[in-house]
Amino acid sequence: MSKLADKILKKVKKANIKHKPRWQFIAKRIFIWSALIVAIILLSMSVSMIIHQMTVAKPVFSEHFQKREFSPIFKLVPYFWTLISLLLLTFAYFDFKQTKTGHRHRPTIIVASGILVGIIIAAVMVSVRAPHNMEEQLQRHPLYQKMHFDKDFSKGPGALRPLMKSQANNPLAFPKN
Amino acid sequence: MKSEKQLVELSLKDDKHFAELVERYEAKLSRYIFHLSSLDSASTEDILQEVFIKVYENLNGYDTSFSFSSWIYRITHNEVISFFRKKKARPQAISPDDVDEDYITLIPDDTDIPKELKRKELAAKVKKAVLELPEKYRDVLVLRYLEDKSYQEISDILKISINNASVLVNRAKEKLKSKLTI
Repeated sequence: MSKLADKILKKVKKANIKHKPRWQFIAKRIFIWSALIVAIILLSMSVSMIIHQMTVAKPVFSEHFQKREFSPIFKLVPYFWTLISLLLLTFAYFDFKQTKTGHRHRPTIIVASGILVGIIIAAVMVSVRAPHNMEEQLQRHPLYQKMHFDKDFSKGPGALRPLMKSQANNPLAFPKN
Repeated sequence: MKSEKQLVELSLKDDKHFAELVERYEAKLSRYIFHLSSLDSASTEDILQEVFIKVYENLNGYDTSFSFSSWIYRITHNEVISFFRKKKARPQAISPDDVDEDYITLIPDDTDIPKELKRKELAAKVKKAVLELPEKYRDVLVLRYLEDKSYQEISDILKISINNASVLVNRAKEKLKSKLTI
């Protein structure tokens, strides 16, 4: 046995150093993958909200676009959900890098894959009206209401109004068909 | 001779097999630490002890789908960085007598080097230039040309993409060439 090996083994014995149990490493891997799956699901949900809001606002969007009224158009962009999507995508990216072979892949590939998976799952969610139901639930919270721009421009650009109260005039109401 | 994977499994049951792992990697890692830092033998041994203790603690975490070499090199790399952060030190001055002439292999072919320089002096000059490079360039050059690691191994040791490893090596060579030409 070499001098260094002997020194190390004596140090291990003296300090009572033990092998970390296998379950700790398995638990860490499970945690990383679970966090990644949750991030992708949440990302898909926020992307589905973007799709939902852009879809139902489309007639209003087109009308303003034809009239070359760009300020109202900017107010129709779902900034909140876009920001949430970007944050979740960033989290998913760094989480994926912690997986066993995550470091081997190019960042652009990881990000593009995350966006693609998010869009695919979001499309499925939209098809089952999940964002509509989510919007209904979220509208009950005052904080969420305050985050949305007023879509009824007759009240002026600064006025805030919960989106679902007046379905008839609400450009973000989910189409009945 | 037992494979490293076999040694890892045996080390979990009996420490004498762990001693065998230490003996296999002692010289290689010692040289690697020296290539990264030019530390004296006492500091190198301190780092080596930390490395092997970390390896001992984390043996159950070794993933057999990676080479053991990449895994232990990664731990060593992190310990060297950690050592410099704790000491707030930079790599030491280099004496030509302490320098491995392998450093001469790092010189790009088209670099203009004075012919009258002796090999040891040349190697010391190259090592000084390498140690002055930003960490990301120094790390890849040492792994690629002094430790003969493949791009996949460099990727696993430094936790960067294979493509990034290749790009960094090329940029590092350019940086080194410009340092040596001045």
